[in-house]
Amino acid sequence: MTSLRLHDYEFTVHLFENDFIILRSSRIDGTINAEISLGILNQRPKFVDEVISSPSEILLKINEHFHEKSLESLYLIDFKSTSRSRQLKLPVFFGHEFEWDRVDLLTGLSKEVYIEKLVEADLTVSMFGFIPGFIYIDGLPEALYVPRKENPARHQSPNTIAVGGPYLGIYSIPSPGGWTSLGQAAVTLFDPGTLPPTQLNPGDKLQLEILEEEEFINLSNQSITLLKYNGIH
Amino acid sequence: MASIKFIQAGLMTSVQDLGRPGLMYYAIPNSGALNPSFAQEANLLAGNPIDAPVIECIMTGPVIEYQDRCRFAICGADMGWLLDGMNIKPGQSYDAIPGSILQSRSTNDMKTAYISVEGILQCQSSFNSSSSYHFAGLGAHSGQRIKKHQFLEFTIEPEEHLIQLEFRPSLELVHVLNIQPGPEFNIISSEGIDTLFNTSFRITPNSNRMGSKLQGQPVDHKKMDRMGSVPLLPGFIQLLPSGQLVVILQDGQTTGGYPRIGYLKKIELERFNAMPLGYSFDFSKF
Repeated sequence: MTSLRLHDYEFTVHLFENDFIILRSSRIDGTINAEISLGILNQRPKFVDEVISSPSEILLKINEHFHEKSLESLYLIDFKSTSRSRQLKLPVFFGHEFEWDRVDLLTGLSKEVYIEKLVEADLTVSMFGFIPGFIYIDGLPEALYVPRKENPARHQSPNTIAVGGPYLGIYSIPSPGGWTSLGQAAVTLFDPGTLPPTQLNPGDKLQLEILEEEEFINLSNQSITLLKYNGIH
Repeated sequence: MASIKFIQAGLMTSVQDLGRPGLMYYAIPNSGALNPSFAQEANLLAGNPIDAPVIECIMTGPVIEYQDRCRFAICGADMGWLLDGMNIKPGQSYDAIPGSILQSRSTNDMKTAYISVEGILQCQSSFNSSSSYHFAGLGAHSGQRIKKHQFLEFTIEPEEHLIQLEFRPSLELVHVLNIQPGPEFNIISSEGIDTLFNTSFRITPNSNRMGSKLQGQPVDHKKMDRMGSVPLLPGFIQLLPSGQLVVILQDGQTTGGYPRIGYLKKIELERFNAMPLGYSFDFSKF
């Protein structure tokens, strides 16, 4: 099989022996690939050990159960259920300690104007990666793009909201980061103690809520998840 | 209950089992033993289930003081192991008594060795695996390596384990690794292909559980356009713009922005992971 139609999108199939398969589509879309990948992951086909999503391709690590007709089982997956997007409020504190000088230098926007445009943006959860707990958010207007740093020096504390190129991102676990930090979410989005580690799905819509410092501290101390904050269990 | 104390930690000693598969979608690498065959063999010899957590030693082994009478096994590199001053060989199990000291000397044998102590290691687990993954603080000791003066405790389960004794070819050092063409193999120029297959490479000290940088003649390539991030698996070989090669290992990132010129199959990755620093090897033609 050299091509495959999943969730109304056409993919070319590239088989690398009995080791892995790469699915590529002509359209580069991280969110759609992540939705399709999640659909495959939730189905857990016997021949698939891992599903990795990226904007340009989906990789399936395959095992000894793979055979010629295996890919046909992917047609049976109901991708509609994983692409049902929800509206979620994300409470954030945009403190002065973040990198507003760099934002101003590279966008020409003051902290106030930048935040105003960010809150108005139509933000969508796109994909996970490149490190555990990192969440890519799509939908940033071009005026808010800030290029990634050459040398990722700054240590990002958990739940840091940052901008890197055309994406907004959230560092759920502490790590060195090359993105420009803007603020901190007051709720948790990723829990390394549970399976799956996040309840967020690609396609979920995020509406930022601006918190004052005191509200942020109070809410953070409750350590609740994003879904619980939105009344979803 | 048996307990052991680390008098010295060794270079990169950590707790590993067979890893946490199935989570790469969430950018969580498998982690787990760099040489799973050695880890499983050590467990079998110590009377443990093959997926039990073991102590992974890389290049330089630890110095361990046994606090209780217990059985243990070592598999993998012959790091010049000494039990109470007596030479002992990997690939066997031994009995330690309270106060017994296990130590190793410098080695030019293989890179990894695994110590399995009879019993169940009492440690943290994340996503059903105790494998320490430093970057995200997952697994035993919140992902931290073993530290000097640290204690580990093992409880003995009263029930008998079902030990599956299966034949496993023993892993030996080889000078030729089989490489498969990767998704971006075609970025290599014909001159680069010549370098890849007709010159030798070495493992540099710039290596850890995430990846291993190779030393060798730069592999010439066509113009590298800035590509977006693409999926990575352990064993994938990336080509950097400088012409240097990097092999992605068990703790490696799940996506990356460099061309994937080739990959090592599971057994070849085990062979690669067994090679000590500075060891010279060739890639064989497809």
